[in-house]
Amino acid sequence: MKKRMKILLILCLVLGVALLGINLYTQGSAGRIAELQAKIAERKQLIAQAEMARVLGREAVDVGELPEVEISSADRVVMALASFSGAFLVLGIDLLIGALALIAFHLFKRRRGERKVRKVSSANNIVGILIALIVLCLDLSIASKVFLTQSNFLNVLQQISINFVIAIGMTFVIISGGIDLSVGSNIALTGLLMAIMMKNWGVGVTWTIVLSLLFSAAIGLINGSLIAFLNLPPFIATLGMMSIARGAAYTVTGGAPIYTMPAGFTGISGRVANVPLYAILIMIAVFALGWYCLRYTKVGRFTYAIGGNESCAKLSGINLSKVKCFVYVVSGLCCGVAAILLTSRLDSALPTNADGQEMDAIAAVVIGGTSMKGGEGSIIGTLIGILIIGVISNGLNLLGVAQGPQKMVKGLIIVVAVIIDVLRRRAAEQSK
Amino acid sequence: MRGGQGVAEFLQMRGITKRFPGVLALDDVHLSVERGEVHALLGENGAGKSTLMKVLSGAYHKDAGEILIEGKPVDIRSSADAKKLGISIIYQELNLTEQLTVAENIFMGRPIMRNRLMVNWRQMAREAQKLLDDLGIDIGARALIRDLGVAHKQMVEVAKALSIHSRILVMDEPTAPLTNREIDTLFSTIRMLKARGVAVIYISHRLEEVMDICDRATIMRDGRNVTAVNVHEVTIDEIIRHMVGRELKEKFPKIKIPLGRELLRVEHINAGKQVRDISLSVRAGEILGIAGLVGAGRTETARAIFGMDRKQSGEVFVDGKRVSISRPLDAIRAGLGFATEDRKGEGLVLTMNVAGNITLATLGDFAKLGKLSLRRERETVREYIRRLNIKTPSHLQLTRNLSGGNQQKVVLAKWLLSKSRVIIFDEPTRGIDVGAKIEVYNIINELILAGAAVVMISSELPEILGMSDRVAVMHQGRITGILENDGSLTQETILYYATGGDRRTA
Repeated sequence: MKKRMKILLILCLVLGVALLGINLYTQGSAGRIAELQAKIAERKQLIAQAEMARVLGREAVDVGELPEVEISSADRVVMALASFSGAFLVLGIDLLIGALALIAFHLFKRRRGERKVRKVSSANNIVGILIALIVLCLDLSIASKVFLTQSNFLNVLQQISINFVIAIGMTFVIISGGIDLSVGSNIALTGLLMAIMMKNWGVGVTWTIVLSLLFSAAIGLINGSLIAFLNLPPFIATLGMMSIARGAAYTVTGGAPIYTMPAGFTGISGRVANVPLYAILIMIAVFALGWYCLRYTKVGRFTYAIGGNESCAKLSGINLSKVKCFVYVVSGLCCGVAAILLTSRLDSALPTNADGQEMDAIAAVVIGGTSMKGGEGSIIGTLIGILIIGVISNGLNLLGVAQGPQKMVKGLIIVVAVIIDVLRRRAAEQSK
Repeated sequence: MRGGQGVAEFLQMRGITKRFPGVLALDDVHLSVERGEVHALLGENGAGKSTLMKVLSGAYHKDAGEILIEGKPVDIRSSADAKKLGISIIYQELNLTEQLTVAENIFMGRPIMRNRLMVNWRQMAREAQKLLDDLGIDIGARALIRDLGVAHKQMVEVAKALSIHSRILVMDEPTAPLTNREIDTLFSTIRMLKARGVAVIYISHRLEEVMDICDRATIMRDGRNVTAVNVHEVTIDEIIRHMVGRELKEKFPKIKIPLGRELLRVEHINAGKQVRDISLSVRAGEILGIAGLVGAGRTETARAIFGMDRKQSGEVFVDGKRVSISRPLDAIRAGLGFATEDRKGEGLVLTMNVAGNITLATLGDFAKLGKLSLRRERETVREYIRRLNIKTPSHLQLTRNLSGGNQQKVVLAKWLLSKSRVIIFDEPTRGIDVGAKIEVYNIINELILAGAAVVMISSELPEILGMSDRVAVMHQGRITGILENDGSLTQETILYYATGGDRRTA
């Protein structure tokens, strides 16, 4: 144990310093990289011009004569590293903070005895991810001057709003032992339906909202019915629905987007005194409802029960079909709310909207400590999971990390979060 | 059979100490076993038996102490190490792959190859068959595990252990799921192992069996050795006294009370192959025992009555009124309760806390206008924790962290709380220790005193005889006899009916 901790400590320190070093180095080489990139861009443009000229039958420069941009392999490495540079900065700071935490933990343990420490560390799933979130915010505020500003905070809130609403619904589904892959498609289809209702059929904003919420809930009900009454595996039922709803979204408009919603509708995502007030209120309401429902209602308790042990739940007189339909309807409803937020913010509805959204939602739920096996999890955990994903995206944007590396970093964080969870569970199992 | 003085015993564990954060699980424990000896490891749940065996099998690392085999210290750091030294463990939860054949399971992970790429299936089956035949086990090597009964599955595990030349075989509660006849088969297998010089460590809560099959016993309590005894020189009562550290007055605290109205009557129920034309009835204040061999259809009958499985025909009357039960919810509404045999699989939601499990069947009672009163729930649950003496740090403890006996009490609390008038208990004391057993019997007594009717399915005949007012015996899905337990009823008579009236096996 002690030896392992020492190795971990040294690893953290070495890696942290190394990553910070790479960050500094690539930033130092920023001028040269920019120069190289400009050269490459120039050459590409010349080639494109030559191509165009040839197509138009004009006299063209021979592409073969163009000088190659000389990039040494060392420069290539630096360029690749530079695209991660911001992420390295954050990771480096993280690792150093982690090392400090290890030392602090060690001192704490020596002072208070091992028993108390164990109590603290296994106290709650949420504590761990909460600390992760705090550390993340801490080092982002060191790495970027913009991060801790009020306007950035409001930006983060607006950015996470869609994922927030969906992940709350997804929490219900995953606690019940299921999964809902159709949320992204549900949002796109419901969004288009809203646009069509308002623009083509002239339905009022209020009625549009009511009807489209009913519509998205109905999609959830279909999912739930397939799972509850026909015993389809949730993965298959919602995978089918994911494709059907996305296909329907393309079909209704022939693939074309619908632009410009009525002002009353776009106002939902608008800002009051520079604050996205309604979006925030909606998030608070969804969070509070979800939390209350899981903690204080029968159906919430039953959601945990059927996820934990379906046959015991059945034996205890729980109506499994009802509970299953309920969780998918909740997920569907959340998609409806998300569709309102998204369509009003973009002021347009596209069949491609919210593509892959299900993955972000599932990631948030899993990072939040909800077990994919079902039966365990909490809304508060999910809230922290969403914030972690949101803060990471925001931070990487602020640090100028490109989209590709961003995805890689996000994937890495999900895997690491689950590894930590698995290890923690194993430790709890061992110490029983 | 005993090694001479001064000759090192075959397996010795000396001064084993294992500490978990906050608990000393094993404190200077000794265990020594000779070749060809069946050595019982006894103690209540939580005494440290499993931990000791996990140290032996490499699942846990000891903090102090040493393990010697043939007098030589060995270092067991993983289950692979243990396997190399010839140590095998057969756990209560068998470690077989249901979809594969017997031969494939026996040679799991080390198939007999024809060449580098191809498995020699024929030879594998032949060798497996030889192993099984040598053990006198009547199973085909090509049979699928899922088609076998528990007893046969266990035999496959034994064969598997022998096929890797195990010298030390640990059996954890091997007889818990077996019927008497199957136990006899197991015992003759164990005797065969003994004759071959295998050292068998036998963990069981059934002391009668220990007296029957074991040579010596090491008794543990609270992570320490209490004593090691020669089984033939002590009585069961002495062993129990060592185990619990106090006298247990009565093994079966049977009470007889005047019977009331007929609360449950079942007429001509048919459900699948295992439940054929079952009719029975129980009155208020009565315990009806259901005996029979494994596979006789006892559990299936209970499941059919309770609506877990579909009934093809038949009627159920509760308190004289005909009720239609097509799902458990109907049964619960009619006033039935069902504590299943498989605690972890069906009785509990292990990921939920004690409170959540206790109130699961009656959650509606705690809701007002759709809002659960957590305070009222907490108060009720605490009352039941006190009443049933459930050992748990709090009502919010996850049930998977409780011991078997306490888990069972949580299941019982759930049905006590549901105020069911008829409760079916399926193997209510399986795998729980002596002290907790008596507590379970007392809870059952409390129920009948309160005017409930109890149906108790059990494979332990002493329990059936000790607790029931009447005994229904099943054989191949039918009730072959309903017997008054008036004091003259014997295990032999029950066995006679349980085997379909075939005198030879009785």
